[in-house]
Amino acid sequence: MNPIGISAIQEFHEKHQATYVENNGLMLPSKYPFINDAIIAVEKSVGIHDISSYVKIIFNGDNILETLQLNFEFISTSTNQVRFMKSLDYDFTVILGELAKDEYFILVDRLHKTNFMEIIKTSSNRSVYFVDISSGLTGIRLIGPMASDVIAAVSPFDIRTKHFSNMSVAQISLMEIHAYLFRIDIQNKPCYDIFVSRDVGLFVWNELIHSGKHFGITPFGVELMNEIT
Amino acid sequence: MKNKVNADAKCNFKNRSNGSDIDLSKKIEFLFDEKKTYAYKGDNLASALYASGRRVFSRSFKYHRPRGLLCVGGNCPNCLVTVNGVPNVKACEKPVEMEMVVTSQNSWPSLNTDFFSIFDKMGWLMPVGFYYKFFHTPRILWTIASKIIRRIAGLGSISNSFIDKGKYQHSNKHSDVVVIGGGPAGMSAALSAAKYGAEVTLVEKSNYLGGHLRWNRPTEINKIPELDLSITTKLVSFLSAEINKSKLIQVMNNASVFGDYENNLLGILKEKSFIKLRAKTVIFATGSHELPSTFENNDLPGIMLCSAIQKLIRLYGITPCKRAVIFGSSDFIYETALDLNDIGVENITIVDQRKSIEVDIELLDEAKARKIEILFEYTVLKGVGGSDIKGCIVAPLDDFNKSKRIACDLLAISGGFQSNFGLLQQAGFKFRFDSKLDQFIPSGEVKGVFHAGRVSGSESVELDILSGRKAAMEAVLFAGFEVPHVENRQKEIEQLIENNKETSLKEDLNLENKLKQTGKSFICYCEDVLVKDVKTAIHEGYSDIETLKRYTTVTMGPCQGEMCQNTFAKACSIATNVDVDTVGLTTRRPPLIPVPLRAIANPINLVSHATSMDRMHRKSNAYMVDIGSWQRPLHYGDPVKEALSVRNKVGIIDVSTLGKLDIQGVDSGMFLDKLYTHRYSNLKQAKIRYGILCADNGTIMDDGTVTKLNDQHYFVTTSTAGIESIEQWFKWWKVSMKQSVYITNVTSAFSAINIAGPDARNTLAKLTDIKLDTNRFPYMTSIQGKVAEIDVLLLRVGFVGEVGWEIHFPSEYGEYMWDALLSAGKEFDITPFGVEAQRILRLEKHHIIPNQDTDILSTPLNSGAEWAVKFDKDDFIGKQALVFDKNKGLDSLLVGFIMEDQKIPDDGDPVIMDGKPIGKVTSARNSPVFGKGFGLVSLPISFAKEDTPIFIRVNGENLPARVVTSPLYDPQGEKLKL
Repeated sequence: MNPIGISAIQEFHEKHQATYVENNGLMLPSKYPFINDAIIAVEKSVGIHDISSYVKIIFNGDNILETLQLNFEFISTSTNQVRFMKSLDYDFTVILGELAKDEYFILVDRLHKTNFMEIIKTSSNRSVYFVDISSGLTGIRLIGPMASDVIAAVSPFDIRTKHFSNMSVAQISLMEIHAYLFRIDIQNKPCYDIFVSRDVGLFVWNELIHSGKHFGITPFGVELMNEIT
Repeated sequence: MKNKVNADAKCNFKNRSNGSDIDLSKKIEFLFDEKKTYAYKGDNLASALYASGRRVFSRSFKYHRPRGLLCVGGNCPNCLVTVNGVPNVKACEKPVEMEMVVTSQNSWPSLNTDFFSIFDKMGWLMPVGFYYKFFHTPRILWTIASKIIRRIAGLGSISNSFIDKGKYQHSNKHSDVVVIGGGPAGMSAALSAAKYGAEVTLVEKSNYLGGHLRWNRPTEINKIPELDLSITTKLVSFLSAEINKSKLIQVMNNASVFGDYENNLLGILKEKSFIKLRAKTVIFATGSHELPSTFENNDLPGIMLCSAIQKLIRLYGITPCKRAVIFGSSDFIYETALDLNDIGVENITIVDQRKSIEVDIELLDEAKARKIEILFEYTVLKGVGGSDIKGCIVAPLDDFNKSKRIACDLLAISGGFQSNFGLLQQAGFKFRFDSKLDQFIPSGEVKGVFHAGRVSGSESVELDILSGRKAAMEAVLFAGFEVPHVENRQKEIEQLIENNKETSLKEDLNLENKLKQTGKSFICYCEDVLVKDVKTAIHEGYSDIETLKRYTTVTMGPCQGEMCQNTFAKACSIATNVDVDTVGLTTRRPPLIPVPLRAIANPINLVSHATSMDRMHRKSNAYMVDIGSWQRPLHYGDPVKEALSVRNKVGIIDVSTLGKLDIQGVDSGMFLDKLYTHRYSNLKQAKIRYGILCADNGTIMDDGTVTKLNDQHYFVTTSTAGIESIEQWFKWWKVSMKQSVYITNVTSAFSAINIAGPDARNTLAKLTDIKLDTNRFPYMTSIQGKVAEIDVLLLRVGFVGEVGWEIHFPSEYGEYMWDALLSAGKEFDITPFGVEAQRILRLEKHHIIPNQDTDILSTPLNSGAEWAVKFDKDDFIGKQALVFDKNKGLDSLLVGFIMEDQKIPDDGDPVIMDGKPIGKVTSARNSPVFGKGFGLVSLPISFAKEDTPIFIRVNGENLPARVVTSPLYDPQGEKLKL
C-alpha cells in the first residue's frame, strides 16, 4: 500500500486539471495547464498557491528556544517575530514564528519531516511539548504587489507594512475564521502565508479567489513557485 | 479677521465656457422623461437639465407642488429623480453618463401637469398628523384609506422588472489619521498630520478637493505662516499639489462616509466599493451648508440658495437668470449679487434684513458702484409664481403693510449656515447653539476625535486653515506621534487663531422675523411641513423636539434634517418660549446617506465545514445535511438497512467532526480531574475513560472520552457542537488555575472513522499488524500503530453498541483511509452508515447525546450517568451542586421507553398523564431490531420505574408506552467487549 495524502483544496486542483507532483506522500499541483500568465500575476498583481504540504508543529512550554538551539542555529535577525533556523546536523531550514512567549509555530518543508521529527523527539524535555498539526491546517500563499489588498478585502487586520512588516506572524480573523498569518517576502515580493483549519480550507481558498478577482488573482503551482524562489 | 472679498474679481462667462468642472469638447446625450437632452462631460444631471431650460425638477411629497433646484449640493429633496431604474437619485450629485435614462418622480401623468397637484388646494384637509386623527370612524375607513395612502405616498418607486446588477467590492482599511472633508480645513489638517509622520486618509465626497473655495467668490487671505498666498483662487491648487506630493496622504474622492461607529470605525461608500476604514484618530472637516429662509411660497421653482447660484456660475458656467432678487442677512448675498453682475445680469435687487452699517464697506461700495438696488431692513414676505417664480413681495421689517412687488425670475436666498454635524453627533459630540453664528456647533471633547473649519463654526479661510493645523496636531499627539517643540507650537497656533477670529458686529436678529408663518411657509421641504404646522403640533402638546419630530415628521425625509433642523429648533423655541440651546437637536443616526442593502450584504458566503472524506460521501450519493456548521451524510439511501448492517456485519461512519483536544503538561492529569466528574490522574497509560463536563451548577455541558497517552499527555474528544466552547472553557480554567497545561485543538488535524459490527475486527485485521483480540486490545483501551501504512491512534470504544474502533489519523489521508477500509471490508459486505443510522443504534443502547437528550437543567444524576461522577474526588467543577442534588434526591430521571403499538413519537413529544404533561420524549426512533418505536424520555422519579405505563401524545393522540430502564439492545454490554 502506498498512502498518498491530499490537501483540502484537491477539488479545485482537479477541477482545473492540474498536473501533480508528490512531496513525501502528499500530492500537490505542479501546474494548471489552462491557466496562463500566472507569472505576470505574481509580478504585477497577486498569485495564489497551495502550501498545505508544509509540516506545521506547535511548540508549547518554557525554554523552547534553548531547546531548539541544541540542534538548530538562527540564521536571521533575532528581533523579528519570524526567524529562520538551520539544522546543525542536516541540510534544511525551519521557519520559527513566535505566537507567544511560550508558544511557537514551526514550519518545515515536508521533505525534511522525518529528520525534523527525529530531532525534536530526541531532544524534547519535560518542559517543552509539541503537537503535529500538519494535517489540520490548510496553507494558502498569496504573493504579489496586491496580495495585501486581497487580505484587506476579507479581514479587518491592519496589514499595512508599518504594522505587519516582513518576517512577522499574527493570529487574525479572516472571513470570521481564525487564521495564522505569516509574512515572509520572497525576492522582494510581498508574500503572505495563511493557515486555516483544514475543514474550511477549500472554502477559504474559493472565497479568496472570489474576492481577489477584482485584483487579478491567479492560481499557480509548484513549478512556478520553484522558479520564483 | 474677516476675509476681504476681492470685489474686483470679475468673472467672464459666456455660454458655459468658463464652468470649471465641464469639458465643452465632450457632449453627452441622455434621456429625461423620454426626451433627448444634452450635457457636457463634467455636468451633473441638475446642471445639465437647468442649462437646457428645465426649472421644475420634481413634485413635493404631500402637496405635489412643483419644485426646482434649491441647494445644488445634495442637501435637499428637490431634485430627486430615477436614473436607469434606480429611484431617489439626487440629480445634483449624479454625473451625467452617455445614454442615461432619467425619469421624474411623484407625478402623474407628467411632471409639468400633475393630477395630484389638487392636494395643494386641499391643505386644510391635511393638517399636521391628519392620518392620526381621520379615517378611524367607521373602522373600515382606515382599511381603505391606508391602502390609498400607501399607494400614493413615497417619492420614487422600483419597477418589478428592475435587476440590480454589479457587485460591491468590500475592503478593510486602516489609517493613523482620517480627515473627512476635502475643503481648506481638511486639506490643511491632512498636510499637517502628514508632516508629523502620520499616514493620512483624506476622504472627500466629490470628485475634487477644495470644498466651498471652488465656487465662492475669490477673497484675499491674511498672512499665515508657511502659506505664501494672498488670494483663495490659488489656495486650492497649492494645497492640492502639496497633497499629491505627499507619500503619506491617500486621497479618497467620490467617497461618502455614511456612519461613524465605535472605536473610530467609519463606513464609507465609494462608487461600487464598501469600505470599513479604521482610524486611530479622526478629524471632521465636513464643512457647513447654507439654509433656506422661511416666507410664504418659499419653495417655488426659481428660489435657490446663494451658494447654489455660485455653483451654477463657477462650476457649470450657467447664467441662471435675467432678473434677480437676493435676500438674506449676511455679506454673502452681496458676493452673490456681484457674481451675477459679473456674468451680465443687470437687474439685481438686494433685500437685506440688516442695517447698512452691518455690511462690509467694500462690498457695499462695489454694489452701489454697479447700481445694484439695495433695500436695507427689508424682508421677503412671499414668493409669487406657479411653476416658476415671477416675483416676490417685500416689505420693511417694521411695517409689513408697506409691501411692494418686485418682478424677478430668480430669488436667491440665504437663511444662514449650519455645520454638517451628523457624523460628529455619531462620534459622541454634544452641540450648543451659538446665537452670533446662528447655528449649532460642537461643544466639549470626545477622545480621539477632532474637528476643524466650518463645522466648528469658522467663518474665514484663515481660521479654516489654522483650525485644521490645530486639529492635526492634537490628532497626531493622540495617535502617539511626536511633535517637536509641541508646547511652543500649540501656543503659536492658538495665538494665530485668536488673531484671526472676527469680533462679530452682528446683532441677534429677532427670530420671529425670520420665521414667517403665513400661508405655505415651509420648514421641511421633504415632508411638506409648514411653520404653522409646527406651531399647531406644539399647541396639541408635542412640545419636546423628539416627540415634535415624530408627530410632524420634520427631519425624517430624504434630507434627514439638513435643510430644516436649524429652523425647526428655532420654531420650537419660539412656540414654547424655551431657548434654542435647550430645545436642542434630534439625533442623526447612520447611515447618513442611503446605502443599498446590496452594498452592506457580506459578499462572503456562509462558512461551511467539510471533513476530509466529504467527496467520498458525495460520490456515494449520500444525503448530506447541515449538522451545526458541518456538512455530514445523514444516510446513503436507507438508514435502517445501514443500521442492520452494523448489527449483523460491519459498517463505517465518518466521525471526523468529533472535537479533539491535545492536552500536555505536568499538571494534565490534575487539570482533567478538576474539569471532569470522573478521575483521570489515576488512569493507566493507554486506557480510555468516558467523561462528563459540568458547569458550576452541576448541569451537563458536554461529554466525551479521555485517553491517556502518557503521564503528561492526554487525548480528549468532545461532541461536534461543543468543541469551541469546551476549548474556551479549558483555556479559561488553565489560566485561572495557573497549571502547567498546554491545550491544542486538533479537531481538524485528525480525521476519524468508527468501524463497528461483528466483522469489524476481521476487516481491520486485514490492514494492520496490531493485535485486535480482546485479550491484547480490551474494550476502552487505545493503541498507537499503523493501519493501512498510516500512523494512527486506535481507540476501542463503542457508541453504537457493537465491537468497534475509532481510528484517528492525519486528515490528509482521509480519502485514502476510507477507500482502504471499504476495500478491506468488501468481502464482509461493509456498508458506510450515516448519522441517522448512528442515532438509531446508539439509542438502542441508551447512549445520550448532550443537548439532544439533555437540557440546561440536566445533570449526570438525572440523566442516568451517576456512575460517571466520582464524589470522592477532592473537588471538581459542579461537585457542590451535585452533592446537594444527591442529598436532596432526584425529581426526574432520563429513562428508556418502548411503544406498545407501531406508531413512533417525534423528538420533543410530551408525556401526558391524567390530562397533564409530566415529561417529554428527548429522542425517539423505530428499532429495526425490535420493530417498535422506542427512545429516551425524561419523567418524574415516581414514573421512572421499569414497566411503568405512560402515554405519549403523538399527532394529537395519547398513545400507550412503557418505561424500560435498561438498554433495548445488549443490555449487559457483552457485545461491546467481545
